[in-house]
Amino acid sequence: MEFTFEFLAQLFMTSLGHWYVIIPAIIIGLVIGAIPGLGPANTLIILLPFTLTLEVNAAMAFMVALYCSARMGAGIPAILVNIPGTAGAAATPFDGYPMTQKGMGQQALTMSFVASAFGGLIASIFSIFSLPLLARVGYYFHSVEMVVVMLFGLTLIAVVSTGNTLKGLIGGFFGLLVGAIGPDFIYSAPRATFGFLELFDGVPVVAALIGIFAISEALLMIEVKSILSEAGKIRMAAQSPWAATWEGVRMSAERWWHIVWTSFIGLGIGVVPGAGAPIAAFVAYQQSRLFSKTPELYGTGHPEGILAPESANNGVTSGSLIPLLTLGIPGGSTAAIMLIVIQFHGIVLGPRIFLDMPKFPYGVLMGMVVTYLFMVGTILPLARYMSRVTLIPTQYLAPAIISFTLVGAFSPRAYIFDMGLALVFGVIGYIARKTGYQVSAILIGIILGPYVERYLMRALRISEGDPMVLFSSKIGNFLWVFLILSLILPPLIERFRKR
Amino acid sequence: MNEKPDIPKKEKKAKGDELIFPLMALAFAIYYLYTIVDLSWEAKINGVLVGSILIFLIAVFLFKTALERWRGKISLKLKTFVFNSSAHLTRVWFLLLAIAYVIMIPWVGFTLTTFGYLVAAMLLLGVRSPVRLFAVSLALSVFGYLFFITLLKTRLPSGPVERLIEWWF
Repeated sequence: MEFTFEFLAQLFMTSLGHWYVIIPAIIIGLVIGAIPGLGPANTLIILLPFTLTLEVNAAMAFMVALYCSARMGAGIPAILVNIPGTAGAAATPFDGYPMTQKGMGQQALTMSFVASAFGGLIASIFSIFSLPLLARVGYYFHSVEMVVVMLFGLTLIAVVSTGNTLKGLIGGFFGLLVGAIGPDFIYSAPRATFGFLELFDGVPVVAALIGIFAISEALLMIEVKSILSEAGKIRMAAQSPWAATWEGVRMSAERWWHIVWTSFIGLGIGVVPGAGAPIAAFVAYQQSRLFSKTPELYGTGHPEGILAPESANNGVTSGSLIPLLTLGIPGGSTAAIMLIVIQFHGIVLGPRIFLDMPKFPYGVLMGMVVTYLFMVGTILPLARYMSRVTLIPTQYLAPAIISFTLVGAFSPRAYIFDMGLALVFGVIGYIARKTGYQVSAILIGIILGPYVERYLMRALRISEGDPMVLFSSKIGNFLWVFLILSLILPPLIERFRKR
Repeated sequence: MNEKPDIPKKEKKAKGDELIFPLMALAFAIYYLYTIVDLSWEAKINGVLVGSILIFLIAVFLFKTALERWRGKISLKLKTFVFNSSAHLTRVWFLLLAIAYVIMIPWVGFTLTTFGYLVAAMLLLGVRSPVRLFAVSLALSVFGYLFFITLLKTRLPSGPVERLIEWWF
């Protein structure tokens, strides 16, 4: 295969020809991404009979478009009502929601769309040119490195999410322990299930997400009549409808370099199987704050605090497909469903794909490029209308959030128990929010809990139970140093800046 | 006579609320460790490691709080979670309604329970216009039925409304 301009142009035109599946997929993805509990994986399972009837390239274009737009859609409720659609958008409300409260929801949404689209676009283009090279990254991350990556991510979240690192760490480790409820990986012995059979499979992440973010937010929301502050209402009333969208575009364009480098953080983390969008978003947010000239503005509605996590979590999308396309290893549940469709069409993924069917992996990534280009055009005008949600009085909004998100908690397993569990997590989330414990740290802990245990177990079994195995790898040790630095450096830099 | 002017005492920051979450986490960690006592080392190593770190972090937090209290900088009074205001009472009722929603939904079905819950919750939160109460609740319930049951085929519990629609069509 010759990697020429002609080859790329041909791929681009072929992908463009799939517009008839890409545009509906973008719309579906946006809606399901914005509703907590209805992730792209669930939707792709529902739509599996449809995708299996399509020709394989069109099916991949459809699934990739839905996956990318769902990632973007998750940022919409995160900005407008402080409820991330998926865990990947858990860092977005830090600055997105304060902007909304100031009456700048439209600008915040526009920035989120621009960062998502261009962050994803940059990462996809880079992936096309470095696909075989990026595929090797996955080889260097074994169980030991993965344990450290996850603890590193959790530590960063603890540092980033609250002014108080100790509180952040308590939240994060509480989440990790909650995530370890259920069976162990060797004997399937149930642990800490409170006697509930429904917890024998572990804590359902969607119910936890909905409780911790949505239910607790609804409980907080009823304290005020409107999401908007008084100044925010005046600002919303005064600004002309399209001017706010353009202001968001301008604010993003002024910070274009920010979008570029944070998208590479997302791509790098996305390539590592299992790390995923939540870690990428928080790492990008922390790095953005660390190198910012105005770190004190983060958490108050700072544009860079929206651009960084949104660009990074969309950078993850192309990164997470690389292990699938090059090694045949799905990096997550959505990629696993894509693998089913690919296998149905008789395509064998793995290193030989570059010899047998080189157009296929590059075509999938080109489909992603085309999707992001379509997304810019179709979604930007919607920011104006979506931001009107903030004008709805909380006496209507809060009950609607409770009833619809509880359905989201029910959907994945069809257990009424999960609705009740979401309410329990809602109360925990409410207490945490009211007393200064960051709910994002708890949620990410719950998500990472099973992964940390799985990789820890593998590492310990290889070393026959010797915990020193955790310090036996060069990359792992390098990451340990980073972990310790991430705990020590921020307060030191803060002190240095104050002088 | 030498009278000292009244200097207003600086009020101590009430930090009792901040202890609720770590104490809750501590109780859970102890329960978790209790449930894994008799399991093999493979089943308990992760819980022991994570649980120990969590207990250590909570101990540091409690020690720091005790030190601040001893130095007179803070008090351990509850500030947020004192249930003496109408706002708190509303929140408790709002939560009870949500619990009732979860309990009722398997018996009454999604659409009717959602409609009833929305009417009750909006009424509790101060919506007084019967037209708005009825119209908004009906619109949201119908939207919920069309979106979740018809479009996404979510297996939500059926009640009289769902059965009637199924029979009708």
